[in-house]
Amino acid sequence: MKSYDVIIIGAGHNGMAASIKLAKTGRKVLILESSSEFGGMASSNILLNDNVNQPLPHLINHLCSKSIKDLDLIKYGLKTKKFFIPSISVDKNQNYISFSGSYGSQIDGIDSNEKANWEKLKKRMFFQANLLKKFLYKSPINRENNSLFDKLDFLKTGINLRIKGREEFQEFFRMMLMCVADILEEEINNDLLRGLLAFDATLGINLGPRSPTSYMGLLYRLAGEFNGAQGAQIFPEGGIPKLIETFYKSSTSAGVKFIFKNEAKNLIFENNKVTGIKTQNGEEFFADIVLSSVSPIKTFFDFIGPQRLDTGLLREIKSLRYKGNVSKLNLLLNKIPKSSFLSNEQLSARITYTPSINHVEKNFNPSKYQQLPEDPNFELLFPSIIDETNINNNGIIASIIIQNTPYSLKDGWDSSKKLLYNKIMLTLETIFPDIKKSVLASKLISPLDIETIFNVPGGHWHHSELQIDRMYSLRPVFKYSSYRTPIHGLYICGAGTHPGGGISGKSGINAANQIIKDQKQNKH
Amino acid sequence: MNSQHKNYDVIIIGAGHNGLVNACYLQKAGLNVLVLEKNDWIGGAAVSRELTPNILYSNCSYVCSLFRPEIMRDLELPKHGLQIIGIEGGTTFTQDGRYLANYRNYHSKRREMARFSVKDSEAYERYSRDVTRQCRFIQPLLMRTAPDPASFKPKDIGEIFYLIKQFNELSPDQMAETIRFWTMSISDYLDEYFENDVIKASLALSGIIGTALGPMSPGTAYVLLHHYMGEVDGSIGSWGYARGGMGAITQALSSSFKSFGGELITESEVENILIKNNQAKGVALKNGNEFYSSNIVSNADVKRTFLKLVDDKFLPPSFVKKVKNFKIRGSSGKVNIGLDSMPDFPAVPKGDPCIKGDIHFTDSIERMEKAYDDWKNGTWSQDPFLDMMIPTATDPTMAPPGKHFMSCFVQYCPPKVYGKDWTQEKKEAFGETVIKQIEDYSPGFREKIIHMEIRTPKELEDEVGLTEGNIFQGELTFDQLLFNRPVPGYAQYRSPLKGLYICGSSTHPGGGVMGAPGRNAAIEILKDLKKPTSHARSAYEVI
Repeated sequence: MKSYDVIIIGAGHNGMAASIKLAKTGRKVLILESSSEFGGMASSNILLNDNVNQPLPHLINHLCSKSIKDLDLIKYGLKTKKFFIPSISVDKNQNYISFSGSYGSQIDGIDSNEKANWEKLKKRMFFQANLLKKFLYKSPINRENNSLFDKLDFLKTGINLRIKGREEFQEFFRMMLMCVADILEEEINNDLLRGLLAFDATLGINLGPRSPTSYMGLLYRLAGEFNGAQGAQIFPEGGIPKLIETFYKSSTSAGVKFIFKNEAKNLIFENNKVTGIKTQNGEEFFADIVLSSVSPIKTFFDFIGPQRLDTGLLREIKSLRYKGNVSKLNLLLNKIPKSSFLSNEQLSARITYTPSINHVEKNFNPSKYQQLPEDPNFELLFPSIIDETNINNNGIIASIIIQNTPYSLKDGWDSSKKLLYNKIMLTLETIFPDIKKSVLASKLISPLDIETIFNVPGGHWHHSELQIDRMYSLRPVFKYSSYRTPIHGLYICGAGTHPGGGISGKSGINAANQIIKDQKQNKH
Repeated sequence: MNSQHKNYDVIIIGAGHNGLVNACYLQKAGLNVLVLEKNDWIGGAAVSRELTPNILYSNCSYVCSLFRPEIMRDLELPKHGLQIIGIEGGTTFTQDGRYLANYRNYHSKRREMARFSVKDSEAYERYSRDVTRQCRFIQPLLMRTAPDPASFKPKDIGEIFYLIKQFNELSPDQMAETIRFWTMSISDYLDEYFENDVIKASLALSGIIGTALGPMSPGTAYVLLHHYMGEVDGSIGSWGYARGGMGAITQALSSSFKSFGGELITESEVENILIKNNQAKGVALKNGNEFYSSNIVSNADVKRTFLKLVDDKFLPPSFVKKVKNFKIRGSSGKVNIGLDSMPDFPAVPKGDPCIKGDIHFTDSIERMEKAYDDWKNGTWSQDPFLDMMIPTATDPTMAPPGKHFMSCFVQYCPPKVYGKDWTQEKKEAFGETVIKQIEDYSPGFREKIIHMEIRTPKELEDEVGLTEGNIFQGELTFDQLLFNRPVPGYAQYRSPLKGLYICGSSTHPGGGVMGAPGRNAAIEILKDLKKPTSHARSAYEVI
């Protein structure tokens, strides 16, 4: 009988983060992973050709200094050298603005009047994001965790907000639930700048810039930090694979055991209490605590099973919106592409094709009806140009994230992939006229592919939709926002829980803390 | 120049329903009130007009439910002729020739749903319970002035504690539900209950009427509430016709106002509001007359009031910017039709009362959302969403026997077409789209038309004075509700200028023929003038 203190399902970064926290308290931890790689959705099992791979994410902005410390990532090789990645918003007529430093602290391509407008807006947005940051990384306050001490955070935030003055106080309550388009149109005029911000606010969720509450998406991004650099787009030295490796190293050094290629099939129950896991190949592992880092849909339906859920909860889980709409296109090029208007230095930026708010909104429209956008918006990064240590001999990688490409398409993904690829290429050619000829290999990964490759139902990069009605203590559902489940001993972490997707490790850390707390109090 | 030296305590600009409600309460408190109306008829957007001989048209607003019963009783409106008749039902036609009826009777309604989905008919029980709970939470707030959260006045702090107390009375699960309800789209919300497209579409329509949002936009679940929280004779959520058309409401109000001794002058459009030393002094009319009073109440929307009627130089620039940023988006039009005889709808059994209510031809949320996409692109939709009523099928006083008036509310319709002004040609094309859709479900409809009036947002703006033709005098999104309506810091019906107030739907609690903004404004004015407010009863306890 193989017995552990904790078994974690899934070796994604959240699972590993939780394992580090738990193993450091002396618990015997096992991680079961269905694939042969660690890293989950950030793992490197998307091969472009035999030797080259590029994971789904290419930038981070949610790994805070406290998590880095908690998880000992620096000790295991995380370089804190930061590559602030500038953003360049382009249109098809070779116009562009460039946006650099920590979210637009320098900005080129707009006049001084507009710069002043932007400064004003940026200052306000960062102030608001800072207020919310307090709630972003902590476990949410909910039915179980609502001590006076927890509630003090709300009071403190209220006071911090009020002492900033009447104007800021009023604007906070007015803007919070607005659509990002209205805010941008009130304050700034430049289409490329507006387009970029509209794109950033809505990337990864099923909202357009004109949908109310979309401003929250932008605040979510701005509230993030990497080792103290707030709101910045960061490329970790060595790229995402190196970063994920530090999680793995820290985890194994803490004594966590990993078993790969062994998929959890179902839980073993005893009196509504979990006692272990049975895997696909029939092995059994036992532990008092099981922590699932897979999506809540899978945890509740496949592991717990509808027969163990009460009707209300079952209904709520069923109504989670878990269908993703972001695709990834990885290209392998034989040389650094030459742009007709961007300099070679500018190729180490994040290049976004975001001509205007209306453009982003128009592309959002068809996604509501399971159709592909006319002229998709995307962001493009050349990881090997940014970071020399990332260069390989096989060629230059172009990593492209495409917005508004729904999980289920009316025409099906099989026939649509070529179409989408051609659309992206058409736009890329306006920036890099000869790019088409230099493509050695390409791989388009749709949300449907993400579902199959990474075992995430819906292929959503937040596991389930991250909108206000499913944020904070409403995530994944109100009743179980404390990382618990209706089954004793079974916990959840992963992007489906607060604070959502992006490489932050926070879901894992918070869940681990909850487990430690509960075991101390001999509860659950 | 012709100056009127008679001094009034209060002058009200605009004889819309809120202006009149406001006037009634002020006059009843013993003040000397003058109401000025630009048109030669009164009522603003709640009117009955004889546009073709013998047929009365409710040519703007067309149904009544939100009008607060407390106001009806305070102002004795039934005595002045107001009678509300409950609507029997409603129906949604499907493209494949079926129909989903909606009856007032709860069990009949569920039986109808069961024809489309048994599961949904069961879910309706949960749905109506949950939505009613939200209604009960919000209803008492309608008749209260929203607090200013940035203020330290005891009154505001007290009101905030009242709100917190209200919220705290909910169970934790209900609190979570409430927060979700306020921030969700009606489409997502309905998805949590129902599976059938037709049922979802028939319920979603209340979430979009009058707003510049689609059923998939977050926040539309609240708009649904805004249409549900009304009542007819205490029956929450039901809708009614005012006997004699919507003008009956404003006629009763004006009759009540006059019975208290008030004075109303029509055909006197206000050119601007006179200001001296940061204090309202009176109004100057287009025809050169001037009236003086140190209290001016504007029933016009916030943009019209502060950007047109008051000179910029009297207002703080930050306030002007906020008013300019206030979102008023014209999103709907109307086609009013006089009919020779009752139209046939072959899909519905003859004599079924469901066609006496609201009739719709949009059988899926996707079609509604697509109509919204067209509006976003700057044009009216080729497949518009219609909310259609034939009040004369219930009310015999509006047309001669056999003849009918039909009101078609059309969503979505932009204030400008692709950024250009409406022309006669475009207007007719817009009307034709609507007629064509009706004809698809009612053969021979076109031959029955004896008169037709097409109203785009432009006509609504020109005639009634609603900026961009928005029926709510401003979008009902979170950033423009409660203490943010119309602009933060000025949600208590006052303005930066002393003695200048606003009482239209631009203020809390917003649009619909509700009367609450007018009443709440009156109470604030009476408090400022240190007059009694005991004749305005507070909101009924919700049963």
